[in-house]
Amino acid sequence: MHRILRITISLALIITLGPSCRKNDTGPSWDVDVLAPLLRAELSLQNIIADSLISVDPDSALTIAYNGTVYRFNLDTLINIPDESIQQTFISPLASAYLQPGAPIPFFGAQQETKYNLNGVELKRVKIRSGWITLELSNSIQEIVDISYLMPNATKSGAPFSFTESIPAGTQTLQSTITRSYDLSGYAIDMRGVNLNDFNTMVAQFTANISTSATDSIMINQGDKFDMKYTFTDIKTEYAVGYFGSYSISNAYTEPVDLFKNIPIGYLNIDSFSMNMKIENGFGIDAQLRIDTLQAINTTTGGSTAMNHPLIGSAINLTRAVDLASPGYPFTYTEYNISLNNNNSNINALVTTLPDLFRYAFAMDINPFGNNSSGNDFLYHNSDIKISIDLDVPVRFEANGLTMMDTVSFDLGKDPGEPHETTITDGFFYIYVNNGFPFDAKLQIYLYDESFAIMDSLLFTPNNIIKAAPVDLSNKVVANRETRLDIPVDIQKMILFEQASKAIVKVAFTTKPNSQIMTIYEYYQLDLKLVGDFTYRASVN
Amino acid sequence: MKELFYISLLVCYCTFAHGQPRLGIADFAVDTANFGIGLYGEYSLGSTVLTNRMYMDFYQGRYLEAEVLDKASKRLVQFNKAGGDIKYGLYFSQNLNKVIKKKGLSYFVNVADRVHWDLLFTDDLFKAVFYGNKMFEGDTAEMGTFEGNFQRYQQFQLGLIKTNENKSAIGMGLSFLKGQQFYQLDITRANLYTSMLGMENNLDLEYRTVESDPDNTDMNDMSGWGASVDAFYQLPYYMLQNTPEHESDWKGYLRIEARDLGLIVWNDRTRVRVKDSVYHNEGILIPTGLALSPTWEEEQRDSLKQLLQPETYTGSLTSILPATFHLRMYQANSSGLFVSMGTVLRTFANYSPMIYLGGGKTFSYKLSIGGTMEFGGYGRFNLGVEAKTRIKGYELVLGSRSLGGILFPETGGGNSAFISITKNF
Repeated sequence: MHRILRITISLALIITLGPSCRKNDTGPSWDVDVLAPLLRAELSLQNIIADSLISVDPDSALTIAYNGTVYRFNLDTLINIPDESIQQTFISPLASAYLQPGAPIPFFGAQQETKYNLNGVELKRVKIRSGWITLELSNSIQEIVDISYLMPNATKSGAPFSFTESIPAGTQTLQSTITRSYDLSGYAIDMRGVNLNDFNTMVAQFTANISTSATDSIMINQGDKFDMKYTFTDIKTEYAVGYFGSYSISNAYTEPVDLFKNIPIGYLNIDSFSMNMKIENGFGIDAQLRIDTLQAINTTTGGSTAMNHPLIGSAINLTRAVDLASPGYPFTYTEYNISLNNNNSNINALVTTLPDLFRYAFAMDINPFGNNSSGNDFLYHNSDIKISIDLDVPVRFEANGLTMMDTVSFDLGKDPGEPHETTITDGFFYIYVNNGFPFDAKLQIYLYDESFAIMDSLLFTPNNIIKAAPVDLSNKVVANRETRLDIPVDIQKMILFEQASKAIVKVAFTTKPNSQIMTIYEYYQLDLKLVGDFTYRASVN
Repeated sequence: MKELFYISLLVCYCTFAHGQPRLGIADFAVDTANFGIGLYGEYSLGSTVLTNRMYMDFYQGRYLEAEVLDKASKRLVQFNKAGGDIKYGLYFSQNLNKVIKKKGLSYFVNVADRVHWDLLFTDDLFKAVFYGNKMFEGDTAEMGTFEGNFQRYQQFQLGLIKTNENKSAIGMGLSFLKGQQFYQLDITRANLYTSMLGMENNLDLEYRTVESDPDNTDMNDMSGWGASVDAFYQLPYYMLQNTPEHESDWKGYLRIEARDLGLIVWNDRTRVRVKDSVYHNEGILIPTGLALSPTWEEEQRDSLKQLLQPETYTGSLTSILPATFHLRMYQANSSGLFVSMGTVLRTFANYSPMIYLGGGKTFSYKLSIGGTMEFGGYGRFNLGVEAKTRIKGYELVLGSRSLGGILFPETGGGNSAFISITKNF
């Protein structure tokens, strides 16, 4: 705030006194009486709540319309293909044999099945969105060996995944090894095995030949072997089909709420309130959700209110999504809507708690009735189960001492112990307020040091009340009301400004007349102007 | 030689301590001697408004008390002036009678360091700067027209003086000028409006500044060069008419003199800044209510810088010297009484025509004392005193034309001193 004052006072002085007059300790100095506007602000509800959340009714009354997702249960939570390494070793069954260049090594060639344990998830088909397979191949034959690897059930644009590599010659005591990584993005993998009746099963075929570049035949000894270690890493699923298991998830957590973070205390009575909670299922699974707790917490006052609604503690059956594209999605969500209002819940009490935290506790059963789909559960990479709310609040309320509070940091740019530089020696900062809202606002600004010890108060009762605008019989403002708040300043006050590191600005609102619900209209506005009327110690280099 | 050294120190001390010109080329004439040599130093500063106390507080970097400002402000009129000069140097002159057999002809060489500054300002500017804008609440402070000039240059002068048998004399000096520093500020328009309660300020401003090469401002630096001419003509004049029955005891001369008719061409690194804008201030708007963005301060600084940034041009520029025209009548009688009167006009210097009347008595060959009254110039009315003495062949002249300012610094508005030491061989 002091920086703001410095800039604005500088601007005012430059404009009012000209460039020859500036602060300096070394030159001659004198006192000038300055009268200049320093800062101004125009406050409306739009300054407190984002424009996108506010809608204007035909009669100019304002409504806060909030739509947002408060919880998301996504694919990672449902299935997770772990980064897993599998090692296979092929050992020569021959006592010894000579193989010509280009000849196949006989102990390879058959298709191999590998079955993965995915913790109850039984995948039949998977399309890889992104991920890698890394192979580490070792050879003990004393000649270069050309190997070919094929996954016939993993295809991309109709072509199976395959590669050919040459492994340098090795020995039984010191195998030669190569490591290669291949991108699996875009591959669709049928995980039903060779006979298409299994799950979680990968099929691979591995062949090896003595390199055609070999100059002579090579002897294969007993004990010669190949080691193949392959690892799937960072596998992200584009699409999956199978049975995703039957199990339960429960969780409890707290979520900060920004809407009331600067309004920690005071009485707020909101006239009407409605909220729709929408639960959407984007997975091809059946699920059952139970919200055990929804609690609003005000950490400043220590108050809290738990939501009362028939659905709290009750199971909500979420039917599976439809595997049919909808706008923006390759599937179609199924929805479950819950209406919350003053008649069927204590939602008003939750809001008037002025919470800065919400605490949730819930449980979710996945496939609570078992494998109903016969292994045809599905998901897409952007499938989720999400809970969102549609909030519709006409800005009609009664407030009594409803306090907005904010902390403003100071940075005078002075080193500790640096002597005070005389600038403003005497005078006032005047805050001229043109109030178009039907509430009184009691303003207070406290200066604090680094350890939050209060140092000074800039405004004193009763000269800190911004008077409410007068209203007609329908409680509509008929004219703005002007108020002037005086902030006296002198050398001592300016020293405190220099020593302070924080200021807390508190504004307590009380609707007028009392005990009336007031509607806030679009054109209501509060104009503030800070005018300096002070004696300034000017000097010249 | 040692005497000359101490005299040089004294001259330099006086000139550097306060600073200011009175001597002209007519003073370089040698009459019957073969050679003349002299050291001189003068400073003067005056104002129709600024008091001596205010000058000194300002110069010494002190706090200006309200009563000091009040006493100065009582002298304000719509347009007010201040200005001053410093001149110090040395000259050498030689009678050419024995060299080229031209009777009454002498030449001189003069080297001097010259400083001049002057200001023209309105009463509203003085009030706004020294009292602030609050007194203009609901009104406009008309701070233009303002003119400010400062220039410093070094002068190398060569000239001839011819003195005739009838005591008439004529002389001319040509000078080469080395420009050291030049600064000029012209504010054509500066109207500051302060609304009632200070809800808004409006500054309608048009100004131009000229600054010579800012990287070369020392005496060793040459930021420009120029030339000037000094000339005078003096004829015998008897204030009281002689008749066959009675020959007047009062004799003297009438002199017309022009000084510093010239100009300086400043180099192509001279900067001219121009600004013509209207600044309207209703307070800086915080566009987001009371929530400041992290870059708000920086944005305001940039905006302020942009607001005040004038257009700047760089290039060569010529300044005209503040020329002086001086008409002087001097009369003295056999009893040692003398009177003088004259008028001084200066051009391009915001100088009001000045008239003066002086008188005194020569008590002996070794001592004469005189005084002056001045009206105009950079001040209003002032008194001066001058003493001349001869010691061991040296002629020492010292005095001040601003006794009022020295004796009554709280209310007097001038400050000056001059000294010269000459010796003829």
